[in-house]
Amino acid sequence: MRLFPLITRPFVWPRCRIAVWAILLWGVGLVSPLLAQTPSAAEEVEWELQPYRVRVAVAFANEPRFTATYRRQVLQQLHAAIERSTGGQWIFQVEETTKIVPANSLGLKNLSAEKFRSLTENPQNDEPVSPPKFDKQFLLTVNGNGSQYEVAGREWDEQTQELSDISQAVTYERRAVAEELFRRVSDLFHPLLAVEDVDIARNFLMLKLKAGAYVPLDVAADPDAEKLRVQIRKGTLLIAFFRYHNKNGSVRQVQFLPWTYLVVDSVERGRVTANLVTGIRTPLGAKTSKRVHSLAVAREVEYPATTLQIQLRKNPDKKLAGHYITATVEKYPDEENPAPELFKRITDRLGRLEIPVIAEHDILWLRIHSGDTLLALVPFAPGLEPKIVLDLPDDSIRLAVEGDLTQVRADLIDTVARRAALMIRARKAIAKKDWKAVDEEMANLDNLPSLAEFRQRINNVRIAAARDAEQQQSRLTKRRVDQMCDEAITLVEKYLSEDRINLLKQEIRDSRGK
Amino acid sequence: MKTKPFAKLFGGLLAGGLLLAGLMPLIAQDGPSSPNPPKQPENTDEDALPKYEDLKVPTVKQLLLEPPKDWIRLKKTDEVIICEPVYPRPNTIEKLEKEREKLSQNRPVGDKALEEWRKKRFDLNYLNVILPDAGDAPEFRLALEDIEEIIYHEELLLRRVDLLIKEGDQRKAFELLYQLERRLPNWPGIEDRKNYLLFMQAEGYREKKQFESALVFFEQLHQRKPDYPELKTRLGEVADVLVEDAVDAEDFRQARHYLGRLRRMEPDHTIVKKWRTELTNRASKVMDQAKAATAEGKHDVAATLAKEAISIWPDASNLRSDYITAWRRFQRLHAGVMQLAGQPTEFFLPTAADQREEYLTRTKLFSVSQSQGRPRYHSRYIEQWEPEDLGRRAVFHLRTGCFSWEARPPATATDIVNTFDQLLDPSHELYDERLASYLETITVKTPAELELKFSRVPLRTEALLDFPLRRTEFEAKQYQGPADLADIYSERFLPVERGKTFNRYRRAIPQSEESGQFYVAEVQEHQYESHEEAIRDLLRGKIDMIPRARIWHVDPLIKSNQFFVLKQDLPRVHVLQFNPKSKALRNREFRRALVHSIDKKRILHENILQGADARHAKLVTAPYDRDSYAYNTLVEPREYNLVLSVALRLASQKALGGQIPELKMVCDPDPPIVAAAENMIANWKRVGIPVKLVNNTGQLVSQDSEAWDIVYRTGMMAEPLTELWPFLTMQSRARIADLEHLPDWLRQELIALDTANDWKTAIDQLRRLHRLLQAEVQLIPLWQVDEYAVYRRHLEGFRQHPMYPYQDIDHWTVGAWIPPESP
Repeated sequence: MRLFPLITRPFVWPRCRIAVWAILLWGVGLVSPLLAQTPSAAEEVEWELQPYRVRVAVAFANEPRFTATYRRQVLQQLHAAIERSTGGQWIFQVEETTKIVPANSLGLKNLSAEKFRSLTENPQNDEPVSPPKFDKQFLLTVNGNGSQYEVAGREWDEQTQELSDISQAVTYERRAVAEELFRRVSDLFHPLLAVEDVDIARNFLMLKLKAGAYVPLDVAADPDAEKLRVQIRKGTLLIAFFRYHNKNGSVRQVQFLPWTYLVVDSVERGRVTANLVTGIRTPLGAKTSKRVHSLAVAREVEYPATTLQIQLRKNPDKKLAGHYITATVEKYPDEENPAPELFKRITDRLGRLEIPVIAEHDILWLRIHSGDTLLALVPFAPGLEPKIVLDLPDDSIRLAVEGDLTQVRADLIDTVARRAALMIRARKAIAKKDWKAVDEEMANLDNLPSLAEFRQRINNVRIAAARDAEQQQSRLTKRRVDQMCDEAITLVEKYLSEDRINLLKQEIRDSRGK
Repeated sequence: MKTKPFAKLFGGLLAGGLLLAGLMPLIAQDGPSSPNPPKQPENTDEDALPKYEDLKVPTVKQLLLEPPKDWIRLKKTDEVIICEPVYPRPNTIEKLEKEREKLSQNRPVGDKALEEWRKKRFDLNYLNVILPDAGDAPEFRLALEDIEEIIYHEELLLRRVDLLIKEGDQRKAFELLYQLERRLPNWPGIEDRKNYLLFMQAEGYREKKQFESALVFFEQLHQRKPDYPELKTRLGEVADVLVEDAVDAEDFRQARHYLGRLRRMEPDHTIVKKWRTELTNRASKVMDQAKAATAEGKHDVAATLAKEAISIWPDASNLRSDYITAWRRFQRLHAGVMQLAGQPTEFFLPTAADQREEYLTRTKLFSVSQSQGRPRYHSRYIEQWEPEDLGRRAVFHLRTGCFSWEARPPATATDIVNTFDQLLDPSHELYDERLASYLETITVKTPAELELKFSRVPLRTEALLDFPLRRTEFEAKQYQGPADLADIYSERFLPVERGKTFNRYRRAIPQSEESGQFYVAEVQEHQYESHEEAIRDLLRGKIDMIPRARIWHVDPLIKSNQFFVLKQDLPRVHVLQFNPKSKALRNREFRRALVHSIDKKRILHENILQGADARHAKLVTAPYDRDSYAYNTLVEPREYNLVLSVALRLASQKALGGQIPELKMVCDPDPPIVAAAENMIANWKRVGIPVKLVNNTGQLVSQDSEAWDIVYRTGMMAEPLTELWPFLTMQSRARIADLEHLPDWLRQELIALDTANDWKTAIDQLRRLHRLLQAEVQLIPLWQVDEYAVYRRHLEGFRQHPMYPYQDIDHWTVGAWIPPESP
């Protein structure tokens, strides 16, 4: 069964294009794997007791200042620092590598995630595949630039199959290089969790933090404790994802759950509870599968802003420019949860909007508007990714109808105003018994656009829009257009009723009879 | 037979004397006051007729209002009989005697005829007179031999004129003389009196040192009687003073004018000779300085001095050829304008003057060269460009050099890419998001070849590249020219001086000495208070062109056949736009109330056309030309309907909280536009919409503020496809953020226009937008008015159908214009 037809290659979160139709279809059967089993290793050792298997590889630039002795010292210092911080949480090795060329941020940038990936969609045989040697690899570089020492690094995560962005720093102190390398490792480290239980009704999850059982309670409660040691705290944002395995145990696909965030509520010896914040209807199901693992990875704000790009679902080349996006803290603001608009901005020509990190609010609720219609309502945590894409349905037909009906309404107001003025004049003429003027005013009244003409105009709009909607095979659009046109006709019938004119004609007949 | 008439005569005289005595007090009142009034003739006995010496010339009032009377002065007694006008006249006695002589020579035959002849002959010895108020028989006869002289009523008038002139009351004297001349133009003495009057008037002015007026009267006198005593001397004196004053003020045109007037009357006058010599010497001296400046390579100074020399005395020997040489090397174009660019006003959008300066100072990569329905583009930098890959790529071949006449600097592909760098950098103030949405890559193939790859095919590549080339930030910091042009690389003319009433621009790249032919090197715009003054100076040759002629002057100028009066390719469209921040104007019904209360036809004729032919202007429903491909002719203009307007105003008033706020209007400072705006405000007042015009404060109103609600602007839109969006948002670029105030559906319509993939869709979309904008009243298009530029005939090189007044100005030549010796 092809569950995710759009995603046929290894999934990379920042570049993923998340289809809203996929969001809507993400029903019970589709997303059930979240309740699936934790990794197979868990059958043997509990997830929270499993230490991270980590490789730290450092490449030094080919410069005289980086002597063999110096390099050895740096590696030793780095090893000692990691050991001191992680204790039994990590099983790691620190080694020197020459495979990052050049040994600087450019060399890191040139690294391809494909080189590390272990995805196999169509395994050649069913022979079991040995599990990967490392959960995480930290690829670090040290190079000199004048009196500076430039330190950079990237993280490869086996579970997410992702290569992180580059983290870099500069120091002028030769002896501080190992310390800077350790900081890079600390920054780049993204803790992993396995989903244990989900209570959809309460938007509540239970998870297990990898190697979380090794964190003493007092350390976990210490706000100054090192990040590598405590991994996550209350309020940390988690992103859920699924790992799909082949029969032989190799990874077939990794898929992140779109527009869904898990907010850590409590952490105790690797047992984590979290709240579910999602923009999709039923993100988590109850079904389980041995070949699908439900995991989560902790994310931190790494960018000052995230660029949201909206585009047409059926035609991703068409970016949705000029659409209003508003943000609130609450999903549905009400009296209990008053949530003023944090901002109301418009997408640029490429359908983009840069959403900055708002210190007080990790997660915002974004509304994407199209005229009177809400195209999407999704949670959004700015700063986790540089860019994110949201696919939306085509609302152009409905919006054009909205414009056309606005004109009809405006003309209706004109007509009603003219009619009222003419009727006043006619009544004045009746009072003066000026029958010639009365006839003139009545003729002018007859020349005003009639109810039938307005109906015809509205129906013309309806027919043209219905034809276009049919071409797009969009029943929803057709339904909405019909609704709008019906409302317009009701309005016209209300204000252009013939009753008043008939009453006036009766008055004229009566007055003339006298 | 003799006794009875005389008895009657004396009876009449008595009655006349009595009458005269009765009238004297009145005469004394009307006449000029005199300390010793003349003795009144006493009415004591019957023989008492007034003595001639006692009679006073009747007053003006008497002469004009009372019945005319003649005086008959008698011999011996020197008494005067005042009677009704005698006939024949004038020279009554001579005429009667002549008739008698004629009769004597024709003696008839036969008794009866002889008797009649005798009677007639006898009668001719007497003059018949009628005494006023002499009862039933006022007629008397007087022997001619007793008459010393007859002083006719006309003569009395002339005598009064003489008195008035002596008294210095020339005006009254002239009026009196005019009355007489009108009735009896050939009355002897009138001409002399008129000449005397003119002379005295001239003298009066001369004494008051009003020499110009004196000269006018002397000229008139010269026309009538060139040999009038002392006239020649006086003419010389007056002209000398006038010429001297003009020369002192260095107004040589004026000096030549006075001298010319004198020369036309008295060609050999010593004053003419004196000044001719003096001015010739002076002109030669200045021309020598001009030659020296040319030798030093200071062509601008040389041209100025040469022009000064030729204006001092154009007929000086050898001056003309030297002047033409200096002028051709450094040609100056003088333009007469009503408004200068950069003058402080309330109006925050570019005025016609600003637009004119923008064209003059910048060379765009592509610019519209003509517009006849659909615009055509032209580039000074690109020699050839070819679309490839179905328009997804375009290869531009640059011109490798510049023509000697071009004022722009040369550019390589790198210079163009430097501009793209700024336009495509989102953090740069010049970021052009529309351009960025089209361009994918830019490749410099060679210094003269550039390739653009588009992410989507633009409908008009040239329209997308309608911008001047920019300097890099580093170059801009190094630049030493005008600060406002520091970032412009592709300059054309640079503002070198901004005065109170003039702006001076010079070629950014001066022509080299080796150039075979020279073109306009400097443009000077002179501001005039009124357009009439500008036309006067155009006629005098003081200015060479009027870039924007008033529409009501166009037809007379065309008829005069003295100038090239050229219509520009695009009319100027007048539009009202609204401040997106104005709360009241967000209400559509309120906007509709505004539009229905403007009497467009009347305002157009009263304030804009001001009597000009109606073919020069049309009402419009879109902010672009009616002949444009984008114009939807099915869209009907909104009618002027005050009743509907009031109804809509009342409807919107509820939505606005029950009260209509006072709106503030800013308008283009052009006087006809201000007048039209005031007229509109009066219209709005009639329907209860208070609007205040913000003008004459001299302080710029910020566009982003709420200090204005309505703006009256004008514009010329050659390419609505790309220009409509910036026009609507009142910005220089098309930015999505500027559309925020529009309803979503209208915003999407504009975006759909911008992303149209083919011309048919684009045109359909433009016409749809025209309809929607009209219905939504997002702006109020008023009318379009033809634009005309007027050029003197010695200008060459301009287009027959210009898009802009200074189009291709670096290729124009201004012929050396030699002023007439006596203008």
